[in-house]
Amino acid sequence: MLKQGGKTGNRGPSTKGKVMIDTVNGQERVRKWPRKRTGKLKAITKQQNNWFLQANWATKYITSLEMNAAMDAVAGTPMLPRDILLMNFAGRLFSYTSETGKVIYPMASVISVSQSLDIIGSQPGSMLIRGPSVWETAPAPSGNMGASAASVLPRPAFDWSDGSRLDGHQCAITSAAISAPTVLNGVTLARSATAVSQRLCAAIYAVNALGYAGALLAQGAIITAPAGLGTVDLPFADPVIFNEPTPIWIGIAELDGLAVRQPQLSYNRVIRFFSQKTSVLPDPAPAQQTAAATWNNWWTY
Amino acid sequence: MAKVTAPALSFGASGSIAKTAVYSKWKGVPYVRQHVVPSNPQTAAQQATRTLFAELREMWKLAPQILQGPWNAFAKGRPFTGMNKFVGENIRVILGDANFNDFIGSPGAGGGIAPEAFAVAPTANAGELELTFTTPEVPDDWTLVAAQYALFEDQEPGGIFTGPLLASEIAAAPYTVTVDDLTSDIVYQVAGWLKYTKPNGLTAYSVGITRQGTPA
Repeated sequence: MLKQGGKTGNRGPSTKGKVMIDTVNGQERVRKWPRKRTGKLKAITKQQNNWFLQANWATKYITSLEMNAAMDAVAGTPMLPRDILLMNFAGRLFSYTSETGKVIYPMASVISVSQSLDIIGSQPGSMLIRGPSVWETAPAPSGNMGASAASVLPRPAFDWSDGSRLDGHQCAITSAAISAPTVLNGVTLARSATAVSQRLCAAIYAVNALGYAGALLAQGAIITAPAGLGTVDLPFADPVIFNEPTPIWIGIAELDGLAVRQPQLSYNRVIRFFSQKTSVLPDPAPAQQTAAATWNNWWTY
Repeated sequence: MAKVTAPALSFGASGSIAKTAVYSKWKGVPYVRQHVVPSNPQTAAQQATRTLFAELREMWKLAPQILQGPWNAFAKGRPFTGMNKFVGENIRVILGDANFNDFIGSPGAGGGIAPEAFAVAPTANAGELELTFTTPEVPDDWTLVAAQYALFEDQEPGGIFTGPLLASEIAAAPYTVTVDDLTSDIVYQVAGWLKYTKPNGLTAYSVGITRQGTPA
């Protein structure tokens, strides 16, 4: 007797405290007589009732794949497949395992986990790396398609390399600093008698937040040079203009073998020598630095 | 209202007393309630519901056993009949519509899985419709017994139901059948569902899918 009374209708006194005996799914049950509802249903109650009604109907139309998975999940339990499906629709099911061992995660679970990870990084394309203490967002890729990730000593530094530029070869790199507004035309490489590679390429990079090579500023073509003692000019495709003092990284790729020595920056056609130890450009005196450079192997493609 | 447990003069009683209390029994449960006179406002909405209610009752009476089966199976063990469910669910979705496109042929019972697809199309012959079921992957140890269907001429709800109301089943694959002897150029409502036997021997029905078709 669920019908609500009309404006003038009256279904009699309260039945509170009485006992109801009925049969559900073939099982006889005894329960307290349902409390008579006073007044109209609240809007939220109507909404929930309607949702429940629609959700139950929706469970009848699901695919056999989902139904089979739900049946597997509740096998041997007092739950019905419909219960699993309703939990799924309500977003209260994190996962369930089918008889084959496959773990099925509803989309609601995926969204919940994703929203939690958004706390660390929410920009599309973000990557997560484990930092010294917590998970952090890795720097966004700065290169073109084909860029590969690399880890730089001392770890856990992490940055991207533009793999499409230096053609997959060992690249030695060192830091430098542009001390005055200037225009860089390229890099001049001074090589020893034991230099082997006959194909060389140079590039310069901006310094990223971690202090390592970041965005590619300029790169030259692969230059063919004889092995052994001598200097090799590695010009950039376009001069790089610096309007203020700027730290940079210099990268040299020897495509045939290793024997890199001191790089030199070519300023407006004037060769200036550079010592990696000081990380400061020397005076524009043509005296060649003799201190050996210490190279960090940056990345291998 | 109160459910009685044999107070004085009430054991097995039925009827009203002094226009104040009404004793009766429903589904075997005796109860007593206050005597009331229904308000019966006879609004347009009430009349529309009543006429559709009557039409669906008439459909139930004309429905073959194949159409009644899923509803009776759903009502088994519950305090309502298959007819109650048939009328109640179809009133909910059809009231206010101009046709029976939302007709529910089967409520689904026992967890039956719906067909992957159900298609209705006219054939080249006059007065024929071809019904095609695409069956789903049947759970382990379940048996697909038959693909069942019911069809009737579409009409505007709220009038007097004009039959016939036909129903039949396809007992084996391929689950395709051609229904003939229909009236050409008349829209038919066709509901299709599947019948299974579960490992415990119980019967399950899938929910019905309703399509429309017009014979050539």
